[in-house]
Amino acid sequence: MVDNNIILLAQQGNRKAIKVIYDDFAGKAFVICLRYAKRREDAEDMLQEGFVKIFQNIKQFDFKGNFEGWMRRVMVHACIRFLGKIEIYNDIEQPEFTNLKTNTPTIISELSEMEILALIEKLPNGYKLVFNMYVLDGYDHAEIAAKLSITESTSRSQLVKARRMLQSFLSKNNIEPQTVLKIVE
Amino acid sequence: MREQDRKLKGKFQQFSIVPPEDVWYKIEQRLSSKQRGLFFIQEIQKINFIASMVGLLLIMWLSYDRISGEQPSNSYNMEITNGAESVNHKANKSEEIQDANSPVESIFRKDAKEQLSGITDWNGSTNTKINDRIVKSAISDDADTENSIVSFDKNGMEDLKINENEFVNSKENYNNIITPEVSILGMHNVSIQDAQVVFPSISSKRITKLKNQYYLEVFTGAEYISRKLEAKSSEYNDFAVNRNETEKFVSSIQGGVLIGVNFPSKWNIAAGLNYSNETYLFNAKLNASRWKTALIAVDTLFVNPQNPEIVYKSIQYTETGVLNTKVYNSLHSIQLPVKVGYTFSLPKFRINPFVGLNTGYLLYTRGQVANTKGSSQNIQYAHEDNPYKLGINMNATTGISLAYLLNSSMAITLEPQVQIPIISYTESTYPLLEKQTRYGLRLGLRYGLR
Repeated sequence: MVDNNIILLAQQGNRKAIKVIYDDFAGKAFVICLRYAKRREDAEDMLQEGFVKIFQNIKQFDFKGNFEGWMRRVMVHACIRFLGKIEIYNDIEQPEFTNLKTNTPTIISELSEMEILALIEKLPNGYKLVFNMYVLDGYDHAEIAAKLSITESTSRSQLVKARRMLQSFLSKNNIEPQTVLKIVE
Repeated sequence: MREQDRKLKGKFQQFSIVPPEDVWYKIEQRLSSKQRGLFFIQEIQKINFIASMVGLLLIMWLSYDRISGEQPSNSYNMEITNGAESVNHKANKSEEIQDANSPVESIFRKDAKEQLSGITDWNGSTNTKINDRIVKSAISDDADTENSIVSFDKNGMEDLKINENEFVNSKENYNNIITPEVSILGMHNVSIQDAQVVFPSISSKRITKLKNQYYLEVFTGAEYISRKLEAKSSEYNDFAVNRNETEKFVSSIQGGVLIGVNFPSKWNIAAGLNYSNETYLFNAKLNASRWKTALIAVDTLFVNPQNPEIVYKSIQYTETGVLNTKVYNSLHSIQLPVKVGYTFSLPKFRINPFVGLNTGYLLYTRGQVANTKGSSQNIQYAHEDNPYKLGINMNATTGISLAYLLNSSMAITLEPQVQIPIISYTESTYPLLEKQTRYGLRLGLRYGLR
């Protein structure tokens, strides 16, 4: 856990303090990037972008909130920026996944982190984006709509579709160990 | 939020995967280069700000000197032509005129008296009152202290008439302005009464034009920017195989003010402030992937074989899978123009070719822009999170200012100009700072302040 003195030093441009913050948060930040990215290389680029943003804007952190929470939001924002234009995503109508009958669905939260990552990785970009933002990063639909320039209802429907698709993956039990390895290695 | 979601979120809060080591070195490198770039730009900004302030102060100082006559520091020339004999004296008025015992002052007095006797000779009689006023005016330190050349030939009435005509034809402000062409009286403050006594023809002629020492100009204009960005990429995501982006210039409007000074040598300098708004059209075209969409359709069929309509929809989507997005980008900026010109005078016109610098500061942008590098993943969200990010550019400017004189103090100006980029810097905004040549046309209204 990074204490306030280190944050203060980082705000003054102290390189050692910046490195301490990086070492403390890099692992968690990399998971965020892996969740959003399609490929590992993209996740590394996102991580780089996100940390540059964090250290460039670290003076804006006013110690009122949680520092890690602040860094998480900056990192998520960097990931979204990296993914590109959202209008196009918004224009694409995803194929419907209505009336899915999933018998004895596995509860996703009971899977390991690696398995969940592998499942999320399989989602189409639009689903993945909304699912990550809403479920794992704590954005509400209004915030997602504002960030992605879409309507709240679109955000809701994307989330529902993402959940259904994840359930369908689980019902087919198609978590592939190779996919997990591809992400992590 | 569902209980399941909370659990899921909790799992990922503490979950971490160590990134490759080289990521830190890349970050460190980028932070260092950013700091260097920022330092460089900060230096440019400082230099530009100081240059602008010096330019404005120079203009204010020159203007103040000419309007108020207080604390003048200009030197003036006095030239007396008396047959083959010519005397040229220079003195700093503020320091030396007030010292009646100084050598310069005594010469000045002598010169004025010589003129006085000259006028007496031409008229055949002495007008003591006028002559007193002339001498008083000549040595007065509250008079206008523009360069003054006393050009006077005691022996020639013809010369006097020529000078009178010059005075009238020069169309100068008869109240205060003494320019080289009209300073035959050897003084710095000529009233209309004085002028009428010495040159009666003045009273019947209308003085129509001012040669203003400094001016204020309000202008508006449009620019054409020869700019078109194209970016192409393939395999953007599961739904696209190809993606083209173009960004074209649409329009640019601007308006502002300039303050300028005309020097006696016909050179002039002007500085000011203007606001501009540029608009670009961003157009993104996405081609849907038939193959990947078909996969999704099969997947759907597998999960829900009773719903063939879903499959049909997916195929239909593929057939019409070309999507267009159009966004109008808007960029707002201020510029600090500084220019130096040389004036050619015609009866009703002033032609002023000029060169200068135009430094622009980004105020605000909105919209999205294409990336020149051609990677769709690097498409920039122009100021999505911070609309006021640093942006600066500096252009060399050249053009011709054409002024049509409406009356003694007003003129309409038309100014075609070209701006060639020198320096540009931005953190995330491309259009303002792309190094593109700009062609502008400005229409202005110039008001001479005297």
